[in-house]
Amino acid sequence: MTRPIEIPDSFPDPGDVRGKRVVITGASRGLGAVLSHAFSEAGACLALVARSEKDLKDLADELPGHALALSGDVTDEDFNEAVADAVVDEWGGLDVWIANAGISPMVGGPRETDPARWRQVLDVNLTGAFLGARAAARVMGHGGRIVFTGSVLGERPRKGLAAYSASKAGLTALAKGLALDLAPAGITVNVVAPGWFDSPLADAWMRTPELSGEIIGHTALRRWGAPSDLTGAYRFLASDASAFVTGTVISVDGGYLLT
Amino acid sequence: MTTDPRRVVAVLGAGGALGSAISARLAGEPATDVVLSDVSEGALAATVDALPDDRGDVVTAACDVSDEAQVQAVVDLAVERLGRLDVVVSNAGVLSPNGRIHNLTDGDWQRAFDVNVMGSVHAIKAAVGAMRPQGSGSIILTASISGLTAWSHAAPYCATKAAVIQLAKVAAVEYARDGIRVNCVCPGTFRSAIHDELPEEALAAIDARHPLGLGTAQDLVGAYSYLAGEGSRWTTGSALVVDGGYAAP
Repeated sequence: MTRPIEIPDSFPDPGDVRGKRVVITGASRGLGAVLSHAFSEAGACLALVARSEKDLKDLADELPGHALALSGDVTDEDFNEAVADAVVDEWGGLDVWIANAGISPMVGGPRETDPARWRQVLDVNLTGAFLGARAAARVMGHGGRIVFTGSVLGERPRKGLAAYSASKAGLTALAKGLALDLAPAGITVNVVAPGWFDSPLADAWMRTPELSGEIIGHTALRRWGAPSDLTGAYRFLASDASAFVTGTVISVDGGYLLT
Repeated sequence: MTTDPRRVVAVLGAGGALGSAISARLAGEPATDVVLSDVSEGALAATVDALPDDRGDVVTAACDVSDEAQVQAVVDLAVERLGRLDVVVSNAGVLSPNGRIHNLTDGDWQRAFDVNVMGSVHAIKAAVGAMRPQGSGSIILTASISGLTAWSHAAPYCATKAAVIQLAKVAAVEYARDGIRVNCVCPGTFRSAIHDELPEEALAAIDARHPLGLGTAQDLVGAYSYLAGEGSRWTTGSALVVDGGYAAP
């Protein structure tokens, strides 16, 4: 006879982030700002991270919930450690670190790409995420969540964006590696890989009809994503419902990767 | 008796653009004898006509890969006539009718499954029967880039080619200890008889989807040669994509 399965009294809500202490990097603009609103409205305590102090203050003022504004550079390890400490000082712990800061300069082919530019993209997008995860792992307890903003370009690069694409592919491997490293501590590490959505980084594409048409043609749902299309995946990965999810990539791309 | 220095290759689905190119390439490699088979005797004859002059022994047989006994007969022929079996290329496949899922019949699915999936299963079963006692062998399945990306209006083809990729991986694990490697090649769209009727604009559109342009069967044979040879001796369970960059962007 098979063992009867135990039905729990309740099931975790996949969007429930109430009371979670959450760091969001790259919070001041684009997806980061939308995530900040989504998490704040859902009752999370937020530490907003970006370079511009003024942008962060303005954002913090708009949010319905309590938010710390911590300006600095994610490529600086001391800054990341200070963010982790500030969250612990304020709320007694840290539950979720969303490494979302990223840059995407149009750099062209390898001969047009200044090596310094390459290093900058890798520094912000990949090393910045690593340093954030490193700081988070120091103060997070069992149940901690680290989420990286990847990209479909990590799997399907685009001409002229090799540095960005490589940095985003690197995040996938980084998440998988760290998921193994941090599993014994009960910390999960995952990636949300957005497709092409309306954001300041994608402005140049959206505004060029030919490029925009190409992207829509490649996206099965035949439209650009809206930032609000993406927040559900982040909230899921931050919630108790995703406790057994680690080392994975959740694509939110309207079907871009299908073809 | 000394160890046989010759290599014996069997190609299932040796007719058609790709089958012919694979056969010509492998038959022309040094110290290689081949068994060529196809469901169409006419296509098989055309392949034999196109073989290079400088080649080893050639044996042919008609074979419908959806019938296990016929595939077994091809392998038996290789062992009886040529003494051993080193490489099997399972290249027979069928496209499915052009249609969305709700317009396709169970018969369409069954046909794709019988040839593409069961044909590969039969090839592996028969091949390992000959290769396990030797303690060596390389099995190469023709999958498709459509097993990795979605092609609209081609669900049976895509699903069965995805199954072939997975079949290669499982077989690779199951027979590694027997010294048998199992890999697949995932071709992108390449120029073949099915394109002959297409207007230039349609060909140009297909061409534009491939960063390196629309390929030909000749662009694919290097992958088969590699997977058949010693150079790939530590490669098993892999899906080698040869698609002119189609799946990259």
